[in-house]
Amino acid sequence: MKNERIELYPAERETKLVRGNRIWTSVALTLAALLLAGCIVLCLTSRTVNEDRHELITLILSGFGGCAVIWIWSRRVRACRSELRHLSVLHEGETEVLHGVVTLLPGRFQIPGSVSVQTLRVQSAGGETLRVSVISRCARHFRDCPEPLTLHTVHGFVVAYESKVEDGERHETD
Amino acid sequence: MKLIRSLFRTLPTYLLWLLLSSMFWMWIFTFVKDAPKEKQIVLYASVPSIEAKALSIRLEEDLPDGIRMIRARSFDYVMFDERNIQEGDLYIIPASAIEAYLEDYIPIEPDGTHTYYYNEGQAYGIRVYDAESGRGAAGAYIQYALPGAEAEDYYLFFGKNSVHTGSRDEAAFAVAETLLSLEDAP
Repeated sequence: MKNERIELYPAERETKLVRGNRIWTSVALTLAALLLAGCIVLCLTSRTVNEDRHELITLILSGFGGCAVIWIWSRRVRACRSELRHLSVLHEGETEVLHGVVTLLPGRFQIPGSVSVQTLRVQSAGGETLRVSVISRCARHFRDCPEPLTLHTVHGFVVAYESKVEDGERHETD
Repeated sequence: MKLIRSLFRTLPTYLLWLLLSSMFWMWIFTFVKDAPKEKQIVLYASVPSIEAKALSIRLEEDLPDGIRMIRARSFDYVMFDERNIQEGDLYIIPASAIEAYLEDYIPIEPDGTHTYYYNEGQAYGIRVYDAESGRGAAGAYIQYALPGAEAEDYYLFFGKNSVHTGSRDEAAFAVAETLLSLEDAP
């Protein structure tokens, strides 16, 4: 048995988020530009013989294509940007260390304009109880943890934890 | 479950987008489906039945220079605003109604190839439907007489407010030629 420190925000996560933000932003903007160009072409090529068909195609393209762009923007781009903003806040804070038995409380909540989080209750050996937050993406690390853990937190958010692992066993952070 | 919850949370956004984008493009298409008076020829037909869209499409196959659109319309189109009818370029009118509208049309120069409507020695309209023989111009698109009803002659006139009868161009005459050349011409 040895103590292993598991980072919830490994360095490659930020790289992945920056790349994801760039790719999804490009996809959303390209799709929006293509849809707009398509609709304009349909308008410009409309004649009496095809105007009704072109109008219908334009309505379908802009309606459902626009929904696809909204979906990409709200589910992908904003998710990447929120987590990046969250990360930049964590980079600026000081780390605190807590030790105790950790219980993941049910329910998650969305910080407006930021990430979705869940709450952890930490009961220290002295009987003191504290509450800290963990990003929902990593909450599964703290399900069924009967053994005491050492948590590293910044601004009340868990950024890493230490747990005893068997030699050769690995924790996946993402 | 998470996906369904997420969809319901964002459903108002999608519905709002569908509504706004539909309204926007339908508004844009009101301009696409129209053209300024200078680029459009409007034909009003006071006939029992007309396949206006099909006739417009057929006439647009021989579009005169400078014209983007030809609109064939039934007289019913102007029932809510009679001013529209004075903006037309071509009119197909039954012989019995000519007197009421004659002041809205211009006289023309007969070339001897058609039968004309004369008033005080001046030619005004070109006959497009002969009630006696039952043959009419663009008969595939225009029904001049209802079965069993008494038929009458129809004439083609040129609007006095049209900019396509000489004041700007002579596109109305070109379209009239096309109309008269269509199948089932008298």
